[in-house]
Amino acid sequence: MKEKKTQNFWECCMVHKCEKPGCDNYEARRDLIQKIIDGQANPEEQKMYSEVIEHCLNCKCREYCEQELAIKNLLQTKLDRKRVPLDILEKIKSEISKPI
Amino acid sequence: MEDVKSSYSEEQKHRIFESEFLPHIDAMYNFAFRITNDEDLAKDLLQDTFYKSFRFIESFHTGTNAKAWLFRILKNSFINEFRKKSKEPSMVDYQDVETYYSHENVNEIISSDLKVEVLQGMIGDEVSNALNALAVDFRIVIILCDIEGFTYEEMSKILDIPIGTVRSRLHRARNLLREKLRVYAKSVGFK
Repeated sequence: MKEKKTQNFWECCMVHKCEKPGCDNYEARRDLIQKIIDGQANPEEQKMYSEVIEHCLNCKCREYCEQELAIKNLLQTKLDRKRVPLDILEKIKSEISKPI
Repeated sequence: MEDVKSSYSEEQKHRIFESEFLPHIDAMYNFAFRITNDEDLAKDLLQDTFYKSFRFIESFHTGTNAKAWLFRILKNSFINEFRKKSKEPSMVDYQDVETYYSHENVNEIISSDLKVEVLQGMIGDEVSNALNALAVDFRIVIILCDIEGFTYEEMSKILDIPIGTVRSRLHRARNLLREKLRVYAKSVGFK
């Protein structure tokens, strides 16, 4: 029963390679992929994802997921992280030390 | 701010400030800089946030998420006091966002010809420019989720919007960012 449910969920990917317009499961699948990308999928959702999409090499949803992960990685690794200027830090500390 | 108040001594207030608030100051400075696009405004916004956090420290409960609490104050200060001063005129019509979201189809989203190898070859300035080109409301969700690692639930509290709205806004923001990166990649000859 559960296997059938999973199969239906990914039918568009497996049978139509995501080319089917207006796929009924698109929103649910997109929600799942977003949770995977953000590390917020529960174990059952992770299993559902890996069981099908890992074996679907030409799937556009997989391509989309990989793009999103690459962009997330870019944001985490290639943007400069500034340190707060020391004078601002001192100013804040000094201000809150003043008696009210 | 929460209604239930704790009662802290002056010493406790300073200890909470030092041990729970100050460790997040760099993350908050980066957030302030990315949403204002102006170093002086970012400094003012940061100071304003920390002064408010100390003034309202009774509303903070030790052991709860200090970083999310501080980001919420910063975001509210930005919207209420700093947004009009920044060089960011762009506001998002959320009705448009929701309309777009509900009419999106799978082909529109996954037809992008942006290759993962091209993305991996991009440098920081290119990524930064693409992020800065987004309307600030979209930039905020990307920063909170992808850079600062907040959960949807934490973002929902910081932004005062339902989780479903967080996720739809994030989805839209990512599509826009991917499109900016794709256009950039094409302009410099990547195929």
